[in-house]
This record gives sequence, C-alpha cells and structure tokens, in this order.
Amino acid sequence: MNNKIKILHCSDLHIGAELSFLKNKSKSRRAEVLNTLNRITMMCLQQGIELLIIAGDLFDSNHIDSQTLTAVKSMFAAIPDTIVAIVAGNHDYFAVDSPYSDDDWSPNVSIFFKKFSTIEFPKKNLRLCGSSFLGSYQESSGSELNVPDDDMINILIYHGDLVTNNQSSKYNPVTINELENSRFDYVALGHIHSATPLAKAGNTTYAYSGTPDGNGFDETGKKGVYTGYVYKHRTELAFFPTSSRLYENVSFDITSLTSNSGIAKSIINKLETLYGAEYQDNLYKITLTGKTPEGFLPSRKSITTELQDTLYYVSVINQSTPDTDIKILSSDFSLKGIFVKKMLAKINACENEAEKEMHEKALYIGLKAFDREVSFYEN
Amino acid sequence: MKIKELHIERFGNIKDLDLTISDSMNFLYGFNEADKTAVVDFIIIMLYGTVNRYREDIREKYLPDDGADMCGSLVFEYKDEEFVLERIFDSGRHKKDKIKLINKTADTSEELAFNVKPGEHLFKVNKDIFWRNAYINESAGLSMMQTSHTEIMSSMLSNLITTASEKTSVSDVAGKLNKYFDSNDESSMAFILAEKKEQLDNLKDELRTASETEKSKLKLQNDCNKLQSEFQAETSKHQIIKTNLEIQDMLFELDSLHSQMNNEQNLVSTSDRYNELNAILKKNRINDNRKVFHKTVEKYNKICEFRKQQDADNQKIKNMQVELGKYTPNDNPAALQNVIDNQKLIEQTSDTLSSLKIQYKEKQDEEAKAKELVSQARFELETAELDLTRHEEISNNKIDLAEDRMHNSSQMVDMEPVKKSKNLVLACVILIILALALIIFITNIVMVVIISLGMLSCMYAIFSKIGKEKTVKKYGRVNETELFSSQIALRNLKNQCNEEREKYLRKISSAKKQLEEAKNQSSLLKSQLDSLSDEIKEAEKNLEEYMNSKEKSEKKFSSLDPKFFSLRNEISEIEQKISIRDSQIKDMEADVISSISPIQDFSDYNEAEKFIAENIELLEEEEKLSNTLYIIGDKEKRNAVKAENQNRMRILTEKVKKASKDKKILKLSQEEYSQLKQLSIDSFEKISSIQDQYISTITSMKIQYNDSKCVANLEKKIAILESEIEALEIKMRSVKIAIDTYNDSLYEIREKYAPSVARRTSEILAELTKGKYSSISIKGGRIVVKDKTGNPVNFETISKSTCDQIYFSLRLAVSEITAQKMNYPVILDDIFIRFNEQKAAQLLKFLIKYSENSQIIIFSNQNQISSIVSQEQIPIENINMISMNQ
Repeated sequence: MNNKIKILHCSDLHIGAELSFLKNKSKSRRAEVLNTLNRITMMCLQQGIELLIIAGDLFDSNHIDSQTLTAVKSMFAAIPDTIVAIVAGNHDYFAVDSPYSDDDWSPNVSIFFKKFSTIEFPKKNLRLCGSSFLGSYQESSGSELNVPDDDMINILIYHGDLVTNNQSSKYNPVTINELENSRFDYVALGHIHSATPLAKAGNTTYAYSGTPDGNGFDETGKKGVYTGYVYKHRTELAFFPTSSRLYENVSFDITSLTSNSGIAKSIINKLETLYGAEYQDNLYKITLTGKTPEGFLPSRKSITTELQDTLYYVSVINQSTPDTDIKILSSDFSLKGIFVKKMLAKINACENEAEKEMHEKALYIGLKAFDREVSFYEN
Repeated sequence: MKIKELHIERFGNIKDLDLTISDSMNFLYGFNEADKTAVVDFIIIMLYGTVNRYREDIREKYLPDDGADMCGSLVFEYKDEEFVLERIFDSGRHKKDKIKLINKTADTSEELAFNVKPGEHLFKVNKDIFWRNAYINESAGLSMMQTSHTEIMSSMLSNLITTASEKTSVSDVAGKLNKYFDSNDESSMAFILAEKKEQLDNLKDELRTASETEKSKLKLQNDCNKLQSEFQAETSKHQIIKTNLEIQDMLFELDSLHSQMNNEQNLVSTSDRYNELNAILKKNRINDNRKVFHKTVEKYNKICEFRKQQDADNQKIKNMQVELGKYTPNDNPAALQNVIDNQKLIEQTSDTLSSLKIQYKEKQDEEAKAKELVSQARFELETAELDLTRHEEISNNKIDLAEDRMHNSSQMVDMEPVKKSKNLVLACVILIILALALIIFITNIVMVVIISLGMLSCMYAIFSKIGKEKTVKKYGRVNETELFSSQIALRNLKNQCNEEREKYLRKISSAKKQLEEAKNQSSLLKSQLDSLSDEIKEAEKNLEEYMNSKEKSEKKFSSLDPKFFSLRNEISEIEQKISIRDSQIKDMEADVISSISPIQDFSDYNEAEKFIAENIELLEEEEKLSNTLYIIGDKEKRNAVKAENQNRMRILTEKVKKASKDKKILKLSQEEYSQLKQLSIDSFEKISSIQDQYISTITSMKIQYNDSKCVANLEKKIAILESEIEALEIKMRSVKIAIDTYNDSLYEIREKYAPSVARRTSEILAELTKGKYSSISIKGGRIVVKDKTGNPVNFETISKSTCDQIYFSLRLAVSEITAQKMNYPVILDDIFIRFNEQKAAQLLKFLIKYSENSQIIIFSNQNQISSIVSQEQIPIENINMISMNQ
C-alpha cells in the first residue's frame, strides 16, 4: 500500500492577466508567466511528481484566449503520469463558460467542479478533496470539511481565506479549527499570493504556496511552489523558487548625490548588491528619499531613462525633499519665512503621525510654490 | 557681521590677493569686470559654497586652469568675536573639501564637514536671506528696462515690499498653489483627481453590471444544473425501463424458444406465419419483383447512410456554434457582421489573388519561351538570309566564271579570222598602191628600186598571212566545241543556282512565317500578362480595402480570437457538405421512386420509404421462418438447434435472474409490453428534449456572457484606484493647508511688514532725493510714489536713475527690517555708475553717514567718487579707498 505521495503545490498563477501597468513589457511578461507554468510541469516530469496541485486562480479570468488555453492544456497533457488537480478560484470560478468546462483536458487532469467534492485514487491510496469557487464570491464551501478516518492519504485543495473563528470573508473562509478537525494530512491553500510557512493544526499540515511568479509590485520577493512528500499525518515539503523575475519596491536615499546620472549609477550599484548578478532581470519600483542638495532638482524622467538601459523594467517615484534648514528659513522676516514659521507651528500642533505627515507635505508644497514649482501627482 | 580681510590664494584667475576691509565705508576700484564678480562671488562661496542663487554649481567656473585647488580665507567679526574661515575646494571631489572655522577671540577652531555651509552654521541665516540683505546690485530687471519699464519696475518693487524678494510675487505663489486646483489644466492634481474619480465611477458601474451579469449567469447556471439533474434522473429512469424491456424481451425469447422446442406445434405455427407472410409479400408484389426490390433496398440503405451522416454533421455544427458563441463579441453586431463579411471577402480575394499570381507566373514562363522562340526564329531567318546571300555570291561567281569562259571561247571563234583577214587586205592595198607608184615613177630608177623593195615586202606579208590563216581556222573549230560545252555548263549552272536559290528562299519564307507566329504568340502573351497584372493589382487593392474596412470595424469591439474565424470556416465547410449531400439525397430519392415503380408507383418518397421499410421487415422475418422450416425439416440440424436453444435458454434465464436481481418478474401481456415500450420511447424523447434544452441554455449563456467582465479583476482595479484617489485627496488636503497658511502669512506680512518697509523706504528715498519724493507705498497691488507735497507722481514719468534710487531705498529698507538682530555688511556693486553727479554725491553723503553704523563695501571698475568728492567737497578721510591697479 502506498504510504506517501510526491506532490507539487502551487496556486494563483493568474495566466492571461492584463499587466497593463507594465506598458510595453506587458505582453512579454504574460508570456513569461505562462512559461513559468511550463517550467513547473517540467519539474513534475523531471522530479517524478505524482500529484500537481493548482489551488485556484490558474487563470486571471474565465475569458482566456484560445492560444493560451491550448498551451496550458498541452503542458498538462505532456505530463500524463502526473495527476493534475485543479480547483477554480474567485478569478476563474467554475461556470459553463469557463475554460474548465471544456471537455478536451487531458485525462490526467482532474478539475473540481463543486464547492466541495472528492476524487479518490485507490491505486495511489489517495483521496483528494477540492473546494472550487462557483462565482466571484463564496461565503463558505457548504460542506463539513472532513474525511473518513481510514488509511488513505487525504489532501484538501482549498482556494479561500484562512480566518480566525470570529472573522468572516466573502472568499470561501476556513478556520484553523476546521482544518484541525478535518483529518486531512495536507491542506494546499490558494488565494493569498505570498507563501506562508508550513503550519500544523492537529495532524493536518497547511500552507499557502503563494503565486509561482509575481504579477505586480504588491507581490514582491521570491515566489515559488511547495514540493515534497505527503505521508499519513505528516509532510516533508520544501519551498522551491520558480519566479522568472522578481518585483521589488526599493527605497533609495539620494542625500549627498548631486546629479541624475550619479543617482542612476548609485541605484544600479545598490541593486547589484541587493539582488546579485541577475539584478537586471527584476522589475523595480524605486522611491527616491532623503534630502536633495541646494542647486539640484532630481529629474524622475532622466533617472528612469538612464536606468531603463540596464534594467528590464523600472518605475521611479521622487519623494525626496530639498535640503533646506527649515528653522533657519522660519527666522526670516519675509512672506516665505512667515509661511514656514506658521507651518512649523501647525506641524508641532499635530496630534497624530498622519496629520503631521499631511502638514509636512503642505510645507513642502508651499516651499515649492515659492520656488515657482508645482509638484503634481507623479505615480 | 563685518568683513575684515579677504585672502584669496587661488580663485579663478586671481592668485594671492589680500584685501583689508574697514568697519565703515570701503571703496574698492580698478577691477576688471571678471575679477570684480569673482571677488564678490568669493565672499558668498566662502560662506555658503559653490551653488549660486540661480541654483547652479559654479565651482568649475573658479577652479584654476592648472588643476590646483581653489582656496582662500575670510576674516570677519560676528557678535563681537573675530573669526577666520579657511576653505579648500578640492579640484576633484566635493567630499575632499576642507572647511576650518577659527574663533580668534575665543581661540577655538573647528573643522566642518564638506557639505556644511559656514554661513548657516554660524549666523543661522540661509544664503538667500544673507545675500538678499547684504548685496545690493543693480537690479537685473531694471537693467533690462528701456522704455516701457513701468510694469516690471512696479511689480518688482511691490514684490520687494510684500515678499522681500523681487522675484517672488504674492500672485506668483498664490498662482502656483491654486494651480493644483485648476480643473482646466490636464496636469493639475484636481484634473487628475476628477479623472480618476470618473474612472472609479465607471469601474464601479462596470462592477455593478458585471455582478448583475454574474448573478443572471449563475441563475442560468443553476437552470443548467437543474436540467442536468433532471437529465440524470430521467436517464436512470430510462435505464430501468430499458432493463425491464430487455428482461421482457428475454422472457419473450425464452417463450419462443420453449415453443420451438415443441416441434410439431412449432412447425404449424411457423408454416402458418410463413404462408401469411408470403401472401402479404405477394400482395405487395414483392415476390414477383424480388430483384427489383433488392436493388431498391440497396439504394434505400445508401440514403439511410447519408441521412445518418447528415445528422452527425448537423450535431457537429450545433456543438461548434456553441463553441463559436464563446468567441463572438456582442457589443457591436453591425461591426461584427462587417468583419465577418470582410473576412469572407479577404479569404476569397486572397484565393483569387494567389490563383492569379500562379497564372501570371505560368504566363510569364510561356512568354519567356515565346521570346526564346522569336529569337530562335529570327536567328534562323538571319541564317537563311545569310545562306542565300552567300549562295548567290557563289552562284554569281560560278556563273561569271562560266560566262567568262564561254565568252572567251566565242571570241576565240569569232574575232581571230576577222583580225587575220584585215591584215591581208591591208597588205594587198599597199601592194596595189606601190604598183601604181611604180608606174608613175618608172623613170626614176631610185624610186623604182625603193618601190620594188616595198612591193616585195608586201607580197611576203601577204603570203605569210595566208599561211597563218589556215592554222587559225583549225583553232577556231576547236574553240567552237569548247563554247558549246561552256554554254551548256553555264545553262546547267544557272539552273542549279536557281534551284538552290529557290531552296534558300523557301527556307527564308518558312523562317519568316515562324518568326511571325512566335511574335504573335509573344504579343498575345504580353497582352494576357498585362491584363493579369491589372487583375492582380485590382485584387490587391480590393484586399487592402477589405482589410482596412475589417480593421476599422474590429476597433469597434473587443478583438476577435483567431479561433472565431477558423470555427466559422469549419462550420461553413460542413454546411456546404450538408447542402451537397442534401441534393444527392434528393436525386437518390427520385432514383428509389423510379426503381420501385415496377412494384408500385409512389409520388412521395416518404410513402415509398415506409413501404420499403415494412417490406424489408417482412422479408427478414420470412427468411428467418424459411430457415426455421428448413431446420425443422432436417433432423440432424433440428437436434443441433435444439441444443443451441437449450443453451441459449439457460443463458437467458441467468440473464433475467441477474437483471431482475432475483426478484420475481411477471411476463407482460403484449399490450402491457407495448405500453412499457411507449414509456421507454417517451422517456428517451424526454431525455433528448432535456439535452436539447441544456445545450440551448448553455449556448445562449456562452454567447450572452462571452465578454462579461471578471468581478475579481474589477474589484482589484477599484481597490488600486481608490488607494490612488485617497493619496491624491490627502495631498489635496495638504495643498489646502498650504494655501490657508499662505493666506494667513500674507495677511500678517501685509499688516506688519509692508507698512514698515514702505515707511523706511520713504525715509531713505526722501534723504536721497533731498525730499523731492516723500513716500512710497503699495495700493491695490500697485506702487504709489508721492512728491514732497504728498501728491502721487505718475510712475511712468519717473527717470531711470530715480527708479534706481527707489530700488536702492527699498533694498536697504528690506535689509534693515528683515535683518532683525543681524547687522549685515552692505555690499554695493558699481552703485555710482548709474547716477548723475548730483545724485551720486547725494548717495555718497548718505552712504558715508550710513557707514557710521553699518559696514559698506563698494566694488567698482573705476574710481568715480574722486571727482564727486572734489566737486561737492565731501570729506573722504573715513573712506577706505583700495585700488586694484596698484
């Protein structure tokens, strides 16, 4: 009798996402995300993965172009010895017009069409349960999450929010208590795009694998999949990075730098130190902070243009402020000096940080107006 | 603060310059323009670094050309303490700069970091304020003024009065701040915010629509699910009925097998039925026309087969239309139709175009061949013509030769005897003449002798000639034969030449004909190629038009998936196939009707079909019965069949037992069986109807919701937009705070600062103009100058030098009022150059008096004050005159 199963758990690939914020890079990035799935299937082939779990949102929506869909189907068809188990997420919920209703998925693909259903693989001594979305929202899976107390290896594939007992969510919520009492050996979660460490509730191990490849600047850092063995009552899984590129938000202090090209060079040096030899391949949102010396106004446009020569994608936001001694300025008996003095008084009277930040912004907006500048929305 | 000493070691072109400045009035003159600016810049750079007031780093400007560092020191007094500021500006990196501030009074010193501004560090005053209060230059704005200076002057002076900076006006700052709220400016925050809010509203509308669409979709989905459940329930019901029917069929078969076991009874009943069937078949005229019927059946079977194919294809189309629905956008049906039409035209035109191109290529090849033929024919013609010419040349030569030969022969024959006769006659005539002369001169002996000698000579000649003539005659006979044969040869040669010429002419004419034909062929092909080329151009033009029209229409809705067209093409291909098959079926139906006419005439195929189907069944049954009767008649076979039947009965009994799950099953009557069969048919029809309904619901659903938006994606977009709007609103609140604070500041400065500046300016101006102008103020944003009687002066009538006096008064007043506790040195740049002697003298007196309390440092190119001093008798012992010319 089979007492273990080799799995690969991934979720939230969002194939076909528009990625319009990447402008001219969006098309190539979409292709890369699709290729990440291909690499995952190749991993299955090379590592002899018996079960590939896709815990929802494989697609970004139900309307996927035929070429992409055909490519995905072919990738799964290329690993006939691996069971591909898919649940539908809130983005690609199951309906008759969804790609999952097509009847030409290869025989190794098992799609869960219900809020909760079970498929058994007796030869592998495996019982798979899955909870799919049947609409954009799902208040619950509608079933008690448990399986018979037998010798089979039980795995639950669940797309939804992991909540505490008092919390509610419109995205298929499940509590740790429910997982603890479920008798599942492993719960493969999807919906949250960052991987969580493997956790245990009773005999049940659970984890979000996160997305295998980031799709935005709210999905920073290394992304990947969980892979390894699931046994009865225990797991041996490890996180394996699969992202083709990283999305990174980097804050960069430009104090003491006096030229745009100097800033660009320093940014490149910092990125190389932070992200190693492959730093050029990543996607960066860089926020310039610190004090700019008198006589120098950093140009977001020139810095971006210079960085674009080296980096795959970069967006620069300037939040630096001029290196002016405000106290000295406030001592001047002039309109500017009085303005600064009054603003400093208001800042000091602020009761909370948010209010203080708002007033500090007001001070710099005013100072820019005195310097005949207007700082419009940059993002 | 008072400047005491300047020590410039290296600064631009200046090297090792030491200047000592007094606490009162200093006049430094004899500079060239560059050095004067450099010394002024040295002071500000020492105190505040190399970034100038235009925010430009001017370090490069003053780094010595030889690569040395820029360095020097500044000695000054501040709050009764003496300081030395030493600076080295590194020629390479800013960070290597060295700053040392020594307090000589306290005997302390400190090294400052490279980026520290000693002025700010010590005085707590930034560069702008220091420079505004310490340095009074000719106003840049003033120097630009030529004729229409009023407005600039007025705004500059009012800026100085209201904001203490001539370049910052109240309205400028307010304008910049209000720009954030300018909803007409596309780059303004208010515009962007409004745009984002509009986007948000649109997205929320889209989300609402998407949610409603999803709800109705889910409702339809539920309907589908219900239909699916109904389908499953009905299918299982149908299965039960089917099982029961199978059981009943098995029971019937068992009964039949039982009865077969009883041979006699079986024989009677079988032969009865057989006879009955035979009678029916006879009545139907089948028995007499079996061959005809079998042939008709063959055709009928073919029709059935075709119909099956038609059904399969129709089902295929149905499924494909469902699939097509997924790729069909709904937003603009007219545009979509146009795209479809254009796509069809594009495909047709592309086909035509490619076939035209193939034809063109073929014709091109043909034309090339035709051209080759033309050149070949031309070559052959030329060769033939050349041959002819050559032949004619040879022939002519030959004929000429032959003719010459013949001519020679004829001359030999005709001319030789005549010549010979002529000589003889001449000799005879001379002889006669000589004879006559003898007679005349017979008396003269000498003459007789001479004449006799002559006569003897002539006689000799005559006789010798006569001998020779005989030989010539002999030769002439020989030549005549030769002439004759030459004539024949010439005739033959001419004939031969003519014949050969004819041959060459024929060859030429045939070559000409060939050339003509080839030319015709070539020109025909050329015209065909031209027409094909026109057609290709036309097709290409059409193709482009269709593509443009398609592209235009495509922009009106979401882009089409290539599968849309491939599906449509596939559907239309199958439809075409169906239609062809339909017409084939009709032909075959007519064929069946005509084929069965010897048995029975039918006008309608359906009747014929019914007749054929019934009789096929009858014939099958008849055949079976015939076999049975045959078997019954044969004992051996009968026993074998009996054994077989027993075996079959055993199997059937087991099957019935299994199918009925050991329950007792009653055998149904014929009527009950029919009812059950009907129930099965009804159930099957119901299943088909549910299936149809399901397919139609799914189809409409797929078509209807093909381009529905993803709720989750819209929600994500909304969340991003909302956070952007929130950030913008916070920033707008910051702008609002800035504006409010600015207005408060403006109020305060108008109340406190502007009146005191105006008052002090008025005092200085009155002193400088000996009371000609008594006051200066701002009213309604405009400057008002009053004369000593208190009447306002038309600003436009004020001279440029008076403007400079007003400007100086204002700058000094602003400096005094904004300086507060800091006592700035007053640095003046070529102040006298702009005044006439009288005004300059007045200014000099004012400055001498002013320097009693403040340090004055005047930089000038020339020593203008010497003449003023002597004319106006102004004491200059307190003026520290420093000449740079020394």
